[in-house]
Amino acid sequence: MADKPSDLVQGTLDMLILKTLALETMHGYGIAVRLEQMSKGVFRLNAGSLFVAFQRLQRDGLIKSEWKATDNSRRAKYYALTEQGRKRLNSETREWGRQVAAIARILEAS
Amino acid sequence: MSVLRNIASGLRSLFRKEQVSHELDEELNGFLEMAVEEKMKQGMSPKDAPRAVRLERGSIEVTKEEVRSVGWESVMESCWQDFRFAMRTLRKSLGFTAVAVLTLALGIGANTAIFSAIDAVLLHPLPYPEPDRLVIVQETLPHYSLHGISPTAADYAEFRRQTTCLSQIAAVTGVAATLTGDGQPADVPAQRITASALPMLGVAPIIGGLFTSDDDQPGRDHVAILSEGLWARRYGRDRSIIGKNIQINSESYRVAGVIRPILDYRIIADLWMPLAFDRAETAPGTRGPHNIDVIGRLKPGGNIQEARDEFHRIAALLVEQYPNQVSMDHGFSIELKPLAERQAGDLKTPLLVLVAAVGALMLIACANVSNLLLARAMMRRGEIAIRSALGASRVRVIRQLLTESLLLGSIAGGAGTLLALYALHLYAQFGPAGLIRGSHPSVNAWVMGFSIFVSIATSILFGLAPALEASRIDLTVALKEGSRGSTTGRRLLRESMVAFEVAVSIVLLIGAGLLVRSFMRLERTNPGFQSKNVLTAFVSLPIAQYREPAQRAAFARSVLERMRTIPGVRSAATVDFLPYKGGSGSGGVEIAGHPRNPNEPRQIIWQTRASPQFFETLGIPLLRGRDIAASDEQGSPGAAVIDEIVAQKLFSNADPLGMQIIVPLAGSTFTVVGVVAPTKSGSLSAPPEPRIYYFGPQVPFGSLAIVMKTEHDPLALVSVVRHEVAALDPNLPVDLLTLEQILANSLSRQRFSIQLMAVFAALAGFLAVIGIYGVLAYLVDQRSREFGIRIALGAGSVEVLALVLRQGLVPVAAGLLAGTAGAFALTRLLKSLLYEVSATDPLTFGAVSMGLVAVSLVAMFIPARRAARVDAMVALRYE
Repeated sequence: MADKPSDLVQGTLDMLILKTLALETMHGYGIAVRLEQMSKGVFRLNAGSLFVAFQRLQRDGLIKSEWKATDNSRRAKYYALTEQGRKRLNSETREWGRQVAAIARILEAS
Repeated sequence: MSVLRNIASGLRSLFRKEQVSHELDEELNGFLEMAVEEKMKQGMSPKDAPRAVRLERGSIEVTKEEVRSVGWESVMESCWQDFRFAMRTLRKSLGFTAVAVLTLALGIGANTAIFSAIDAVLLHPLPYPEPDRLVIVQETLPHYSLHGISPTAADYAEFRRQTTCLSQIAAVTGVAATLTGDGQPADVPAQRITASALPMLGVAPIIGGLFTSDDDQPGRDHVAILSEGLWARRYGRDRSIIGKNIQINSESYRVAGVIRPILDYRIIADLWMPLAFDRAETAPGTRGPHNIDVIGRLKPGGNIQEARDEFHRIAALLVEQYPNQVSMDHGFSIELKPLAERQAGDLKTPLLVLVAAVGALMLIACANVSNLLLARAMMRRGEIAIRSALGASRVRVIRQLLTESLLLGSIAGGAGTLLALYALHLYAQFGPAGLIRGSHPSVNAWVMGFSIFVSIATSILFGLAPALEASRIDLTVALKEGSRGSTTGRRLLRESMVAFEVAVSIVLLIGAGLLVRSFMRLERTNPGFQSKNVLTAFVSLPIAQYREPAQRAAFARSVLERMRTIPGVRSAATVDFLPYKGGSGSGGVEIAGHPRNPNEPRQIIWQTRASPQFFETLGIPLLRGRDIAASDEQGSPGAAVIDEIVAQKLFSNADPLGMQIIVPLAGSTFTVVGVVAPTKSGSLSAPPEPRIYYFGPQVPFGSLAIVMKTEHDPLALVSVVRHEVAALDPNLPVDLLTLEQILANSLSRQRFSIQLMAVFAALAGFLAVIGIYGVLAYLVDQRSREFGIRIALGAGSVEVLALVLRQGLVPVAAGLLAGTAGAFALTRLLKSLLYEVSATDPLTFGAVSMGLVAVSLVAMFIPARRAARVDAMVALRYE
């Protein structure tokens, strides 16, 4: 996995994409870049996992897409969070926080 | 919502494939271009940037493939691909496909047809709502060796008063009914039922109405309900029949309604009349004939065990209340049985045997197709190796191969279901009537479901082993062209399948052999009378016209006189029963002046009124004394002829001639004038039953049979006999049959199921032999080069022949051993169906094994001879 400096914990990619889209609508490459920037290069995503995730999220009705022109007048598919996606992001963030805290407690205890 | 969206999106990718793929292309290209631009901004050369991006982000084709496989539609698509590929492969080898489909279709067809009978008889036998709650009440009188007989009218009244576990209760009894008036006089099977029966069964009329509770009052019971069949046959589906009067037994009955047949566990009735008991019949403690079937419905939520306990208490109560009734002491008991069980009756065992037979047939068919697939897998090793080399996982290869099996199974399932439909159609047209009583097996939803299940299950059964075997491939070996590889493992699998087939078919053939042998014995059993050239005519004298006993006696005399004058009739007699058709009654017989010891079990003796010449006509040998004479009719007392069993039982060693006996059915005393040989007239497989023939001033019953011994073909006299009876009374329906026909009919059910069994067993044996042939032919094919070398090195053709035969004999011998052992263990289950043949009859075991070995040898000889004739040069050059 040379192109992926660190593997994502299973299922967290969806959450991260939702988080990215919570701020503004974005196209695929934008999302990839934003994730890399925010993680300070820890996560590098290949197109495969990214687009599979888009496909899945869209089918679940958590995000929706629309073709728009980019800043340098290229056509790109922009993704946006749906109401359902926003709810899911909130609940997953809460759940994640709980789990991390729990794991941290276990690790500190030993 | 999300599921709907998922389906919609999946459908879009399926049906607007181009557009979806185009969009994905555009999006991905955009993504990569942006990445390339970024790289170039960071100072990479336009040549290196795309390469770096590809390394970092993955290639566009792989990504597209990954994205596409997200949805359910991609699984469907690959299944569809597999399916089309399977179609192509099967079409390419039509011979294989035809053999496999035919083999499986035979198995599936046989299973579906038999299952439809199982469904009709055992699984869904009762066409009423909540059938599980219907029960039938039966009594056991061990004192008379009577088990599971019907209660009496008084018992029914008692049950109705006492029961709390049955929410509804009804009584049924069979009666004779003669229809006159509209067209030909006709005897129809009929039942009298209490008005409660129809609502209890939840029957709705097709037209008209049902009985009301007023109808089963004595004197108001002249109401009738017709079966749909009778309504169509006799009244042409005329709706205006409702409310009209029809003539039944020469009395007027108002037609209330038309219904579908009900309560066909004993007879299939066409006509129902109310069962009205008069007060005397149902008075507590009355003894009456045990001819009232009592059917009840368990109250909601009640279980049968509670009801059983309750009826045990009722039985105890009856014994306590009416101690003077001899019939009720010595272990009198009342049992409740699910009506469904009564309906299935003695059909259960033969049907289950047939199920086992078709199941075994299916297994053999599967083994055969499995073997074919294994052989094919060997030929397709190259193809499978290439698929694996190109990256198909083992699971993927197995899936592909199983898709082929499933396709084969489905085609065979369709063909098999059609076959079953056709078989049921043939059965409905030509099968013995009433074989499984009123049940009409049909391919309903249950049967369809079963057929589909069998098709899928067998596809996996026969497909899995070859698929596992074929996908286990060593690429380096398999891809080397022409390499044969090691086939030992596969050969073992194939040979054990042959052994299995031989074993299963041996069990089946031995089972069928035993049944056939037992049936042949049964057919050859001497019933104690000569059935050749005997014509029987059965008439029922309607009570309304023959109310006076003298009228019935006169009719019997004059009809006999007329019959005796018909040219071609050697002798004729009247009698009140016909062998295998029933009639008259049974009960205890006493020697006058010798009261019976009440503690001894009573002998049940059949009592028959027979005219002179009866023994001569039926060829029953007179052993001692004389025949009944015409003068005995006026005799006082009349004369009786007893058979040898009665002589032994009643008089043991004393001379019965001249003794006086009391015949309860006739209600008087007779002098024994002769002794005849015993006869079997109830069931051929049971021992002969004791019978007394009497003739005196007692009046004959309303049902009368005339038997005639004819010079030539008895059927030639049918119209003359009809004419003579009509001359006496044109309104009498006459039922004419030869005694041979009656005998054959009594065996028809058994004959049919044994024929079916024999066909299934023969098919199984045939398939097994084909299997043996297939394995050896394949083996010879595979090893023809080896044989060529052997021959080139000097092996004689006999040696090669022996080599191949030895190869084939090993699995056959193994199968033979296992099969014989299996048959030894399993045929005892057939015991209740066998007559005078032991379940381990050495002759059957020996003949079947030898036969199968002989046929297998022939099957093996064909490929073996081919091996012996291999041309060394051709075989060596072939590679």
